[in-house]
Amino acid sequence: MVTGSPAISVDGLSKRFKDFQAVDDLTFEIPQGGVVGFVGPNGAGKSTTIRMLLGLIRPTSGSGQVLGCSITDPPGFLHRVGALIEAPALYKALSGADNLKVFATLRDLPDKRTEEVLEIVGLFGRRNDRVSAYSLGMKQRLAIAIALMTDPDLLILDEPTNGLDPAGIIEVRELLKGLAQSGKTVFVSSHLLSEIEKQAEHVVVINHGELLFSGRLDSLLAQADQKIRARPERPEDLSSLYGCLADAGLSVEAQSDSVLVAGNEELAAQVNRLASERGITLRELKVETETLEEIFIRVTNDENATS
Amino acid sequence: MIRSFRSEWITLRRRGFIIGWLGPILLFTFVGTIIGITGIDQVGGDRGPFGDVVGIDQYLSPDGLALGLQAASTIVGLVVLSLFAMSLGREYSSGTIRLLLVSEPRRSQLLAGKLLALSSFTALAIIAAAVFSIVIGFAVAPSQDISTAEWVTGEAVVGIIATAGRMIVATIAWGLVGATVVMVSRSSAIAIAVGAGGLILVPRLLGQANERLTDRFPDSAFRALTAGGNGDLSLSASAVMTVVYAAICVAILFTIFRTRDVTD
Repeated sequence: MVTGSPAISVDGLSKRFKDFQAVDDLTFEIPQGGVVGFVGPNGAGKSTTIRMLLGLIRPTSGSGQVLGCSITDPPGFLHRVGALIEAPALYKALSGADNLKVFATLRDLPDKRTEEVLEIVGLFGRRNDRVSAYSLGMKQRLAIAIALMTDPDLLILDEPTNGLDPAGIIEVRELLKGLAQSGKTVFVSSHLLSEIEKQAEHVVVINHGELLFSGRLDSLLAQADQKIRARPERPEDLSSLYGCLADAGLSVEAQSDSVLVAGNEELAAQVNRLASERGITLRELKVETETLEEIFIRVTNDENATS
Repeated sequence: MIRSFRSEWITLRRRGFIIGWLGPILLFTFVGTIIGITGIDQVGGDRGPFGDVVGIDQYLSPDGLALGLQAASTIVGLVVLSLFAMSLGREYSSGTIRLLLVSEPRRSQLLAGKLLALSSFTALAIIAAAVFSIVIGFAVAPSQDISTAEWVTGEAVVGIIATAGRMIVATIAWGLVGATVVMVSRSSAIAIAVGAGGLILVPRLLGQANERLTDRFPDSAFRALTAGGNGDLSLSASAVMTVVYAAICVAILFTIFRTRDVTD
């Protein structure tokens, strides 16, 4: 659900630590409602950007707004924001319930709310156990529960699936999807691009602190290259297949037991025909579309090459 | 600030924390009281940088009731310095400071509430130490042929209450020093090392070269304040110095906390 003014907008946002430019002239907007992926390799500047959005560090230059309030005035918007910043930071000697009470008291929320969020993240049954006895997945869910305490309009989550097993990742994904469907904006950074691909409607891609892409995920995926994979029935026909496709002027890449031909599905028939004319039977002929991860690697490599 | 105070108390009230910090305070109060009474001399004397030998006359007076507590003041001050340093340092090392600031972005109020909670914990611990010192004093005094007749007078009760009150102020000042060093260095270990080495050993070593120098350091002011003034510093001078040191610490603490990026 996308509505109204942007949930987050930044304009020329930059942060310099001594000699290191962590974030450089970042400008983007994300709409309200839905899941927005914040993507970039380690050291790209994601965490620094998130900390500026949360008022933990001050920008060197540029400006930003969260839910319509300037990021230089965190009290103006943080009561409507829930956050998980990097690894779950918790009081390990306290129980899960007491951890929530620390933050509920700080935000002047009733105890009843701690029970509600424990139910939401599925930890109510373990609420009185010490956090030191929790698995990483449980700690991550407790950290998300802290972020949900105020029933926020905007959730800013930095790597919420870090260290989780596949079942935990699916749990968090479903939780975030459900929150987005209830009208909240979920701004989630992750290096697990397959995860972002499964849940985000919008993505912001950065590298070296600079913006590479900001917009709808489907418009990014529309930039995906397509390739046709052709696998001969007999492995000894591989070089012959490569040769006939290359002779026909196609862009061909040899693999261990197949060839990849650059082009969309309309080219598949031509590949099949060329192979057949050479007397080669194909065991496999399929169109492969770049995943978000492959697009991301290509885009960041392109950016690395030009920087 | 009240919300921050109440929130901090959720972390302070757990049993492990109470045992971990109240335990050493009571232990050192016990040791201070025992050593004070068993190390008694017929006349008072100077043990140089290691403090004074208390004369039996002082123990026989109403003030004698508070001498055990006073004897433990410096070491208890160090425990409180460590308490403040480790409590604040833990927020940075565990990353909880980030969530606290997202929950309460008014940084001054967050810090004020935390310091107030730690100070109130300290005050309760010193009151417990004072009671403990009284019990130990009454139990051990007969073994040294010290009459406790003067310890049950109103003057003695007022004396121990006043001593405990001054010690609360002095130990909170120790705590503020610890909090300040950890805020500057972002390391609890450095804060404790500075507390133990820099504030106790170094001034006493310097004092060997120039006795007047020793009186200028926080340790001397805090000790003199707890004792209600001593041969080196009067009560008023030690009180003024303690307030000045505490005010400097508070100014540094709040300035850094309000302005520094939270990158850890």
